[in-house]
Amino acid sequence: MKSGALHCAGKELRVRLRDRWALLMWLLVPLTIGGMITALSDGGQPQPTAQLLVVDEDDSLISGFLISALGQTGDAELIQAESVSRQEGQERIEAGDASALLIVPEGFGDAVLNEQPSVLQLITNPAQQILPSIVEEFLSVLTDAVFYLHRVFGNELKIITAQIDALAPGESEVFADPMIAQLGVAINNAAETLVEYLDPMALELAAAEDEAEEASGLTFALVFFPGIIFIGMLFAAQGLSDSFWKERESGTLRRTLVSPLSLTEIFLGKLLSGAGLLFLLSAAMTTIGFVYHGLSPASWLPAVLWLTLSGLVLYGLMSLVQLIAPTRKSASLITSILIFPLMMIGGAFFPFEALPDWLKTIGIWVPNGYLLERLKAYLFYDGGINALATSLPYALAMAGLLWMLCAWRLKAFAGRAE
Amino acid sequence: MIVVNELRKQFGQLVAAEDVSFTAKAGQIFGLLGPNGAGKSTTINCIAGLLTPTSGTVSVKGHDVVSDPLGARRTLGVVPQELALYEDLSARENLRFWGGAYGLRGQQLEERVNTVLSQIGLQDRAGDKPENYSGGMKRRLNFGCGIVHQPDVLLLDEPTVGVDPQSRERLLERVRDQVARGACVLYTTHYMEEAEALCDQLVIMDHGKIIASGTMDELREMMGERDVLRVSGRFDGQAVRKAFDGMAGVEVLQVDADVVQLSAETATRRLPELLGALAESGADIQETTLARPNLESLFLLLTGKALRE
Repeated sequence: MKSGALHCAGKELRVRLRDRWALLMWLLVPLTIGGMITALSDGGQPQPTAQLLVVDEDDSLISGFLISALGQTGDAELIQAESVSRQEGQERIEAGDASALLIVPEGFGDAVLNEQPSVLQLITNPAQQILPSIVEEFLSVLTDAVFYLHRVFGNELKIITAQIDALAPGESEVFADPMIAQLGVAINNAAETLVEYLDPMALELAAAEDEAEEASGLTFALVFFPGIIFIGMLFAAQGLSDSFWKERESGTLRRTLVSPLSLTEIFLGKLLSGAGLLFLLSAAMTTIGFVYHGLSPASWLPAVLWLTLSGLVLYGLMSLVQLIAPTRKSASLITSILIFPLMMIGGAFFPFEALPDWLKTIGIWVPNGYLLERLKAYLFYDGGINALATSLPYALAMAGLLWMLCAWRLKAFAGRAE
Repeated sequence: MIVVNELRKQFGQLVAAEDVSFTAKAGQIFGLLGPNGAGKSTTINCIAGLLTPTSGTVSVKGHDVVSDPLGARRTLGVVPQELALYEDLSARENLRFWGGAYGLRGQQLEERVNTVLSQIGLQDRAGDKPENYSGGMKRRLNFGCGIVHQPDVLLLDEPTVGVDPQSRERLLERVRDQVARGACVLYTTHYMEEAEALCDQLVIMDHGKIIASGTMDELREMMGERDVLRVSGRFDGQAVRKAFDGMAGVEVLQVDADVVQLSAETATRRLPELLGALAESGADIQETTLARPNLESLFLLLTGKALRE
């Protein structure tokens, strides 16, 4: 029995591995969908950056604050500030070599500290549409920030500026200890007066965040990733299940039935070879996804084994349809039609996170939906390995039931091959 | 080797085989002839274990196909009419699989695969897939897959359908090889000349029953010393039958709008008389052929219809 089953499995694997187009398609379909979703989620393009040329003719503490802040646009790095001379700046902006040119005039710092009007000059590149607007908007926010900085710490800034101005050329900027203490106390007092305005805002922001998603660090592409592998599994299951009809139509099934090989060995051969192929496919797709998304390698093997088991459930489901269908054409049609609702409501094409609650409730009762939801619980949420372990009996029961039904149908199916 | 005893197979109201009995011996080619629907395939499927007889018994080399199916299948080799090959596997891999299915492994399997490749003339193309083969090469490989394990009993179901003359001759030689090593061959074919040239024993079936059996000589005797006159042209069926009605020693085997076949004693000498009668019936005669009685004419005599109908 064992030898015959392995003999059949070896043949099945050889046949399948020769069909390189089918294998390629099973890999390409999910990879293409995954690539498209990733491209949609992050644009797939380099982040555009506004090149801002800055001419600092004031060279004061306040102008220094402003220019430093221009380069602090977070991880996105929307603005890249570069200090240039007025002449270089004008030449480059005329040549279209930057998004904008900012000129901070001499006396800007004094004007701010003395509450006098001052004009910042921003020359934008007319050849660009969006990036100069970003610079303009950000600069507008910064000037407001400078205004409020002055309102809160105006006196302290005056003291610091005066101390710097009093330094002799070449002297290092050293403040006396009493002055540092005085400034520290003044800044602390100012900050305490602001606490009652700032703290409630911070609390409100914290309450508005989705703690689960924040904790898991899920991105749009990552939410799709397990579902995309399930799409590949569904197509692979459909392709594998066609072998029953292929063998019947070519006459090899009939020929095998008159050999000493038993129906059970033929059946086990298909099951074993299917498991092997599904393992290889899920390993390939999972590896790509894990590397791209930077997931923990420790989760790789449980995920691949779960996906293989899921693939066997789907292979069993598709095989059952094939073995019940009266003709190969109808079998192909029914399995093709079946794939799409399974993908749609089973969380593969549209992730459960994006489905309305009522549809999600239905989706997790679909075999692939249940298996996918468990995998996500393991990979992304706080289910841990228990999410898979506690569901393993159900998954095995599903696979067992479907394949037992297939074995039962295969007798009648083979009988029709006479 | 094959003993079929009062076999009956019924599908609902349809009786596909009834009271079929014969014995095929080792070292013998046993021909099973008959038109489509005659019950040949049902009989073969019962022998191969694909169908369970409604009544009667079938045994292969002493193994009852119902009570000991595995024992029976181990002794069998089957070459089906369809090209039952794995198109994605090479000829060598196909032979390996079917040899392995019968328990051959390792060196023994490799030796048998190489021998069969040589016998069927595919050793130079052993690594190619059947999809790249001609029809004749595929037929030879199909045959090779059935003999790779050197079966004691070989069932050949129309093995030369659609095969070029060269491949056919090669295949028939290989069939004779199987008999020479002591195998029992059950052979079905539509090619009467092939059956006549190859078979030691013949059974002719129609409507699920055996209508004639014996050696080729025994079957010829059933026709007596009659020749077969085949005339083509344009005929009025009723007028032809009327023309020969009551004519001594003449039997009308077939009358169609364009063909008439007559079985007649000493037809050579009576040719002017026979053609004259046809002319009087208003026939427009275009071509005539006089032949010794064969399986085709015997079948016509027994059933009134051509074997290929």
